[in-house]
Amino acid sequence: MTEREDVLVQIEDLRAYFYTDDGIVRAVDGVHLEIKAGKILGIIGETGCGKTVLALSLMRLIPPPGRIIHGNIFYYRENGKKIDLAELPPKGIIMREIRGKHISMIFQEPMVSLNPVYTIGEQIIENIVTHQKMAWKDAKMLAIRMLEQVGIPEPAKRIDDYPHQLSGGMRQRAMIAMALVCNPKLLIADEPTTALDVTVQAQVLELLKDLQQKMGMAVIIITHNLGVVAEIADYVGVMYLGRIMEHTSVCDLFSNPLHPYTQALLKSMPCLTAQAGCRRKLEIIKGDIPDPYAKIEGCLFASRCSHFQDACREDPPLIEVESGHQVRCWLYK
Amino acid sequence: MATESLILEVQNLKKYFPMARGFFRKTVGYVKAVDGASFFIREGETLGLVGESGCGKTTLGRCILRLIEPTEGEVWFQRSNGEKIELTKLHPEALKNLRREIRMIFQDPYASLDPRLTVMEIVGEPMKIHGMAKGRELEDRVKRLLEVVGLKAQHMRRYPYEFSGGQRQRIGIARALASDPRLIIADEPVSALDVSVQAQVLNLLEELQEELHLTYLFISHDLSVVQHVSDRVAVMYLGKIVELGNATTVYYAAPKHPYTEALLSAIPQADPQRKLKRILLKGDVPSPIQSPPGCKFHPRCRYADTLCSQEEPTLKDVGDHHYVACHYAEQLHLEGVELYD
Repeated sequence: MTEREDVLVQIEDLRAYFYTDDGIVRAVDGVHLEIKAGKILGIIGETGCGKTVLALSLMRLIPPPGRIIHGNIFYYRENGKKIDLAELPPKGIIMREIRGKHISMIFQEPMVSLNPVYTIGEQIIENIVTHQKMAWKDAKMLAIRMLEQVGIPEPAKRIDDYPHQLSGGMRQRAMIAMALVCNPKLLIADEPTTALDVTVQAQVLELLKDLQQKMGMAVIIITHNLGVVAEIADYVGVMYLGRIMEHTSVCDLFSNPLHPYTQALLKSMPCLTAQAGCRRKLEIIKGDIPDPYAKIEGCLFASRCSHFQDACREDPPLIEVESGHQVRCWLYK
Repeated sequence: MATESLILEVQNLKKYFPMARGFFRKTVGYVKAVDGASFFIREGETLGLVGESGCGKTTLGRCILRLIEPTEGEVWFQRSNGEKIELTKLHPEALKNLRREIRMIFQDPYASLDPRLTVMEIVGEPMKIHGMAKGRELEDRVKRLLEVVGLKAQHMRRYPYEFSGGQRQRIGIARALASDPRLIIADEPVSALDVSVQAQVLNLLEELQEELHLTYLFISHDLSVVQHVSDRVAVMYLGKIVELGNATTVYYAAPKHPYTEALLSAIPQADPQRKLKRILLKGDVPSPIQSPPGCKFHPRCRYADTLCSQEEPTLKDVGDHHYVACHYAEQLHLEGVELYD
């Protein structure tokens, strides 16, 4: 049980499918993942690989026609009990308690995810009042303190601002304040800096890292930007077509990537620190991401992989190459 | 150096968008999107134009082609016969002719292709308009263009919705190439694409440049991408070019403008071992409606003093065709991106 202690959420063989009129989209298709308390997990992948759906399944917020059809999401509560989030009714009382108080989320586009007709103060206070027995007045004080912590200048004044009165970076800060005001154990950040400029992105990443250390929470950061992962994450899951292809510490991912997809991804990225002047040709991954409706037999990456062999017609399991470094590829069997 | 041919020269280009208020739509102020930008592009090179959102990069790109009419300034373009013409005062008919030689690739491959036209019609349209080909010949040319950009001839009869983002961007590139241009203004051509697809498109653009001797103005907010494709870089802040120079010099050896330094230090690096001395800029980009007096960067600059808040620096050559708009360009020792091997 000693090993269990630092695991906060354990995902086992999670599958979330979308039953659309055109067919089944296997957005999350057999994900195994451990989320450790107090650490930052980076999930990286390209558009449509299911990273957002994975996050939404943790929150039980998958919109219909999608639903979780298989698997467990064990959440370890402070009293040592574990509950399976995947089995709870999404609108039930326990899930509503967990959502926002234990697990909270910040979204990509702060303008869309904040309600334009309420002030940011009202939206933060609503969160506090829902989850903690607190008077509106006290909640307001708390909200102001929180806004100050996320670096919004003159928080007592800005608390009465509407989202449209804030800049993109400030809005994202307000979102972070809202997500963290109840001291969650786990924060899911879905592309938190994608809509922001580099300089503002740097500010927000710094803030997230800082708050994570202060509050000791676990963070899942979902992004398509390898740079962001390198900056902030402790360990990383590389996702492709609904599955984790490689799972390892952040240093290993960049120094010793094992999966052909990870290797290709790293090589296809323009890199600033390569020798100056020499215009290295970017290596490309051939082909496009397969049609989401198609059911693929065998390894999901086989059609684009440069190491294709006969064994790849069968689906590889997640193979532990060394302690803490798992790869879903036959090359390492 | 005087003999080298400048394909494009932009001088003090301005675009002010009026803001109308009230019942009579009275003009109450101006959004100074581009506020006196000057730069030049040499034939056959790629000039990268970087800046944060709202700094006026797109407006600048469009003003060159007069897709947006500039308020003030001059744009000189050198035609293939060596003749120099000024674009901002050109007659519409002559301008149309000129747009054969300067083409544009747009950011969003979903919004920039007409959903009701087939690929054949989209790519063939410029050739039809400029009377370059018709009938069988047009069809052959479209086929060839599609092959050049890595699509198949049988894709010709399909509609844009049948393609993925990367393929659509290839269609956009084929359309831009259709009229045998010499200068291509690529406005964030890879921003909407995933890393792996982005690499494909960047490689394609590079190959085309070699084969067809194209000149690019490459507009992007992504500093790593710009570094990868550009020979020279122009850094833009609040409607002005603040630094212009050789890409390697600006990025690594010696950036001369404090904004460039901060921008470079903010790039997330794909190397977890690397500990950055990051310069965090205070606050946000000021509004282009009421930009600060003096140097526009001074409220966020860590080296600023009283001179900076009073007098606006001009873009001047600090040697070796490296232009900087900063009073202290020569005194400051700024750091670029650190190199590893």
